[in-house]
Amino acid sequence: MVLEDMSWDGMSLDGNQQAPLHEEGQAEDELDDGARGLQGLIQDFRNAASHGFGGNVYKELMEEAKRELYPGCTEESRLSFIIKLLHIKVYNRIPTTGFDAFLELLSSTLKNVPGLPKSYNEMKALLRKLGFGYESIHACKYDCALFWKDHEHDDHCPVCGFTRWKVNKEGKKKVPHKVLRYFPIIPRLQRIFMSKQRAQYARWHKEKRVPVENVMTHPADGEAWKDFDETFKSFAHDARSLRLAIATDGFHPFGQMINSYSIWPVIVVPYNFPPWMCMDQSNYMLALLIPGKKSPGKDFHVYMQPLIADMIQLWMGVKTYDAVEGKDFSLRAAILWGINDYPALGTMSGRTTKGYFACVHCDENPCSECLRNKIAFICHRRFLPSDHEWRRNGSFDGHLEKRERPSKFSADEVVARLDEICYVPGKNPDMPKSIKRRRNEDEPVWHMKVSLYDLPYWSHLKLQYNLDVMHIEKNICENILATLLNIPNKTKDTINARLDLEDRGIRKELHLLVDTDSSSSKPRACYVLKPEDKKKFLQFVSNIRFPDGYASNISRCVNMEGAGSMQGLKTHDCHILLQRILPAGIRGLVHKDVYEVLAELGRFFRQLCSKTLKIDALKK
Amino acid sequence: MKENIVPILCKLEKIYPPAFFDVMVHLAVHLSDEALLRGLVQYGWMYPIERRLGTFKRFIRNKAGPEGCIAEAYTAYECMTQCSTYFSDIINRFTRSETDHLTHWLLYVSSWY
Repeated sequence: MVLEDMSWDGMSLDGNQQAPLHEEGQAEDELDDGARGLQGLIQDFRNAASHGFGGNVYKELMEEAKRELYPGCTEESRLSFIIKLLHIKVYNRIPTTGFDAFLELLSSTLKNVPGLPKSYNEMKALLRKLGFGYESIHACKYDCALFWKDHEHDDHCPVCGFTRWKVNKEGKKKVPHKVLRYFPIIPRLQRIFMSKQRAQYARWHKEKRVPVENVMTHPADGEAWKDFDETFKSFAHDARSLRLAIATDGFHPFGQMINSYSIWPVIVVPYNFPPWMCMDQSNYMLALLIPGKKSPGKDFHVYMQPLIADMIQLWMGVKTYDAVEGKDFSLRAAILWGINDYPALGTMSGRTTKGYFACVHCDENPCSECLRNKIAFICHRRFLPSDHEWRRNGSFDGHLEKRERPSKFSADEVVARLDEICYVPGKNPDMPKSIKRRRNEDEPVWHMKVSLYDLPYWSHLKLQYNLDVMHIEKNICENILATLLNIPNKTKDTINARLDLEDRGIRKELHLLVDTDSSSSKPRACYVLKPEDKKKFLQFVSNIRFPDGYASNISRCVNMEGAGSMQGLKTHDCHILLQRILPAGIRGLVHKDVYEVLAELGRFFRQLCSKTLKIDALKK
Repeated sequence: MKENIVPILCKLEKIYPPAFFDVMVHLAVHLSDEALLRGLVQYGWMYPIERRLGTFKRFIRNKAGPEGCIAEAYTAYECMTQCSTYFSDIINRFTRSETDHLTHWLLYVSSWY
């Protein structure tokens, strides 16, 4: 396509009107967006607009791009200069006031550059045109409902009747209690296909990926993905169909220790891209921003409605322009799984993650048992084959183990159970108690049928939610370390833990010793380091030197004063400690059995987190 | 691995008191099953998400309206990331130096081998 009307571009203003970029034959090779510059940007907008997408932004851009920065400037057009300037502001997080001051100085000094923008506000209009913006949707103060669709113009909550407005005075602007920000997902996914380069990469998982037998390097190698493709053949047929993950977690915006406010962003991640693009931060799309001050809790899914509505539409197919083929196609997208930490998984899935049924994989006969002051998940011998000799060995908990491993409900069973649950959204304290207090007593596992079940494919998914390896590693490592170093208030080896052993009548050598004056003491256990060994271990940890970029400086967490302890470990420190440092550090300091099992545990996590997973090794 | 983790937990049960085994320790049993379904752990853990939340947190300038700050800054950021893919002559997240990319890559995907 010869774009004669685009010859204004800075690069082609050198008198050569037939710049090679403008020839059609070259377009195939011109896949690298980086080399295409402003011209490429506008060309993509223009192509999409000719198929009815993205509005007529390109016309305004083209007008803008014809303006010179100063008379006779050949390096930059005014538009590309402004884009680069904005880029600097946004990427370096320069405050608007500082940026304005800088611009004012420039424009007052460089009088012969008339194209210089005067303020950030002037440039912001451009940002509005190029980007997508977001929708503000008001919500009830008590999370009952969104003022959305049918209720858009209501003044009171359709569920609890509470007023929508915080400030509602004559002559003053109305202020809502809560505002949900929705970043429409459809145009964002459509834009992937506007640039040839990105659109090509979106097909990577099917057309360019070289699957290796027995090795997993991309989610497309996993069984869940393959199973999805098998079940929904028409979806899988088109390589452009996007597979997404949906991730959410709450965070405190005002610093580490101030937990009075909690914001819940929902992030969508497309998985079609090759690994180096897939897990890049720029690939993470913010879809929803659920406001504080309190976390939405059980009413999380009230806020998910706009996203789910769009996802249903995307499952049916949305007409989209594909830059590679140069014509429209029906874009489809599906959520493959959720990524959450464990408490957020409970919010997301509507399944309990506390109490006796805390494990999301053990629906029936979970391996939880009541101890003196907590619930423990023991008896892992149940996961052994039924004829395993350890099942008949009394040295674990003094009993034989005949029980089967805990079972998981099938997808149909889950849906049948969920259908019976009644759930009323909202937390309004003035709601009639008859409605508020209606609990589901005979259903201990599930709280509610979450909005994700509105997606036609959701109940067919093999892996709906991921267990978060990061937090599991962190918790296991902290448990082991605190017990090993006997850190007060954190160690699991408490008086009550010893009393549990007495209650069960096992491991007599660890039972509390009652002295003559009726006080009791804990005999030293093999999993706790002796004070002198503890110093040796801490010394070892503080002396380790890591390769550059391998780990943070873990020695900062070591406190050698007094009895010595480790504090302030970050999740990644635990990741390294559990897999590498801990087994090496305690070797020779603890009993061989303890060392061996911790080394095996480290090895397990090391294999699990490797960047190429061997399927046969996983099954072994 | 699937069959390794069960004996490991059984051995731990022999050593540690029952109070050691909270639900997080138990969940390790199911990790290899999930890895078979999902593929690499790196595509389903929270590290990159938590990093993203950290970025959002830094967007907040006006503490009276944290959500508004994030929304405005995010849309600007998203738009500029998109535009910057077309300009290879400016420093952006796609044109950073080789070492930066290496660290970046290591952070999210590699296994620290």
